[in-house]
Amino acid sequence: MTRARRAVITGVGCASGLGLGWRAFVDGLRAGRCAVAPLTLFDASALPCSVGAETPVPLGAAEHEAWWRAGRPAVRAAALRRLLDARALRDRKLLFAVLAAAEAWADAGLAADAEDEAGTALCLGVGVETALFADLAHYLDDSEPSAAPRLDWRRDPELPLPAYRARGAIEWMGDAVVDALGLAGPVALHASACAAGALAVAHAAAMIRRGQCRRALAGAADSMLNPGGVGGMATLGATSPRAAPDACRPFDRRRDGIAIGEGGALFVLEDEALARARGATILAAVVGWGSTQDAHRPSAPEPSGAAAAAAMRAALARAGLAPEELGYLNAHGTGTALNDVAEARAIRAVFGRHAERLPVSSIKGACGHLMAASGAIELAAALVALREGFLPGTCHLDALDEECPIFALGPAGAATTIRYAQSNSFGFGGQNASVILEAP
Amino acid sequence: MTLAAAVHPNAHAIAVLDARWRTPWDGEGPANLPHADDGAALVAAMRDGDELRCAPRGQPCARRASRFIEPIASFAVACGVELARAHALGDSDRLGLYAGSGGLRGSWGDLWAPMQHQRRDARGSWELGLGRTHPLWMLRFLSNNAHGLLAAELGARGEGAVCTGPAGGAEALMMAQAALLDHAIDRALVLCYDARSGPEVTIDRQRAGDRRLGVDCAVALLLARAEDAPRAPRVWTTTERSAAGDDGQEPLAGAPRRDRHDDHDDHDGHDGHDGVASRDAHDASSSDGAGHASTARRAVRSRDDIEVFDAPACGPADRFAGVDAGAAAPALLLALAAAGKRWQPADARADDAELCYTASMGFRSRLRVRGPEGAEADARRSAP
Repeated sequence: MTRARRAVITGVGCASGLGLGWRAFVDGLRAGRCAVAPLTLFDASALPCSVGAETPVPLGAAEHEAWWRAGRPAVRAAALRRLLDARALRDRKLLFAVLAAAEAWADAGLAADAEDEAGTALCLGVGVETALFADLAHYLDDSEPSAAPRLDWRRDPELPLPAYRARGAIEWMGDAVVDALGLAGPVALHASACAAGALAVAHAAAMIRRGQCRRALAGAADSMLNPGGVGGMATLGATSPRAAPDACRPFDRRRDGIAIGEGGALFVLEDEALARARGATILAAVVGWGSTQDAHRPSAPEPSGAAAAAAMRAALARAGLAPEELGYLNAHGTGTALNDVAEARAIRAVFGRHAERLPVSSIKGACGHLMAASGAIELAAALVALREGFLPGTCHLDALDEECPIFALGPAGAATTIRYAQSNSFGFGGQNASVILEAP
Repeated sequence: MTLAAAVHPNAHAIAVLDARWRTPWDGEGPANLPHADDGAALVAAMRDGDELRCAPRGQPCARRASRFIEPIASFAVACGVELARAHALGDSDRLGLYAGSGGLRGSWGDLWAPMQHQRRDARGSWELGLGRTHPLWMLRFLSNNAHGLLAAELGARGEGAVCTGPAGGAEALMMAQAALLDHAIDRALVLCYDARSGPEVTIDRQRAGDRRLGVDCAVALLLARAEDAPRAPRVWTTTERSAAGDDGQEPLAGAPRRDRHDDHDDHDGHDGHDGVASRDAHDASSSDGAGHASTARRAVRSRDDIEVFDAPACGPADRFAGVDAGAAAPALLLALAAAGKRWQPADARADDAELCYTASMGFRSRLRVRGPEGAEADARRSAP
């Protein structure tokens, strides 16, 4: 009888407000750092929300080449040239995707300039794409306010391809990662809102388990830290109205909304047999995943958490685990009034009495809500528990809401030696995803 | 196709139970045309006087939430609702819902009002217009809004995913197929839709020298495991990445392909920028409370029409070499095949029962289709 294929993680790369790279992410979580601060990327002083967790990367295209060559993870030289020439790295989502992918690739012991003989697939979560104000503004003509405005593509002759700026980088994010590392396998772009990153990883693991590919690069990157993104989320009422570092307080009784972050995380997933054959270090196995739809409302979670609980149960079932075998749960934990209560109900429904001692935390107080990339960076937080022996804490959780009767970790986090960690991602639109990792 | 299916193809085939679609060609879709690369015939079929209908006719069925999704996504939801009603689907945790759409492009029309009085340096953007956007404006850019709305309307609580990009439709089909084969769900409803006629896409296409006609299409497919529907048409899909340059695209689609000033010669020799026609078009369009632009489209006659903000554009009408249905193409192809009709998109190659669809940027989806006759023969052979 043949053993089922297992998908294992052999490399990880991160970018978040806590810094660039896995080590900065781990150190930031260990230190209980909070990256939420007044926004500097644009003038947000008049917006209802003026704080966010910015990721420290250069702003200008002119700075990118020197910055990239000064210690960034390796990508194919010709691809980097193309990215720089097209000024593609000024798109922060794309930059985070390439950074995290390159770090994960190197972490897995894979060379960026080698032939991709394994035919690596790419499953990448991508986010909302709007024509960015900063892009379109360059093309506004000088019409008086009363005149009909026009966009004139000839206004900025230095730009090589205006359509690139106007259309955004949704498709090019995938193409840039493929180009940067010379990936030769199929590409799937996931757009399931805040569940996109988790579903991308689940998709990759499923492909490996079914034998559709032997290696995959999976995760997500996103940035909504622009006037349209922050302004749009603010008018929706999703962001905290307080312009303070503790804007996001998951599970706290005083919580009042999200803080927006940016960044991404990518993982190298491999068929365990392939990883072992090449002597790769196995960081964890992706053993369970599940997804469901709330079927409720696009902009609010189903209050009972029933569909969220079903996703968590599906992940446990796929992993062949009893609920009490789980050692840590990284919650979606947005810090909104509705989400945290619904998620807590789901946790209680799935884990019963075990929920009273199952450590749960959310990193959104520390590095904000990474939107499409939240599932990926939070799976990386679950990996921190397995790889670093540390349970990340919940920044700004001071007084647990009695409507959230779970064992939520406070800001300090805790040392651990657990075997299984689960990560929840519950997106706008009612898409729920949950992924379980097993220590090697 | 899974490895096992390569050895025994019918083992992992998926049944197409039913389909609904909305195309610029109306009810029968392009099925009456032998090949989508017969550009002249397709264009003739879409022509309405001097104008081209690059989007489905009429309006999507009215529902409150439709104001907050793109028109083509609303058509997709309507297709899904029709299918669900026809098959008494819904309120089930065994009904999976998958969606594949094209790029998540912000429609420029949506930015018309907030952009009107902005400064070039973006300072004060909130006071100058962004702050006056509709509170639910952001929902129009929610990447899974059609998926979420349909799930809520049907009560579909099973597995699901939303894919995007050139192969988004094919990937959604693939994921639905995998979930069915894993017995995670019993039925899969797959929405595939794309709007390829707007200026956001047209400019990019024309810069790349792509002479296809962009159209807006929405398709919904109902899939089941083959053993649960032995007489239904069968399909299975795989994706693979084509060899570099296979589709004529450069490795990085964002990289410059040509001097942009060269493009000025491509559009009937016009290089003016008065934009009068497009302003008229905009003035004639209507908006609701969420800034929902009109779905009216018309053919582009000069470059002016695509250089002005909010110009609905289809491309020069006499230059078409085929049809670009984007992420909707694979599902439309399957829907028509399941109905016993043959349609070969310009970007697909036919080889007997197999159709190979190549999306842009080197993402290739292999769609294998067998008609009802083949399925019946297989069923007879496998009968005890």
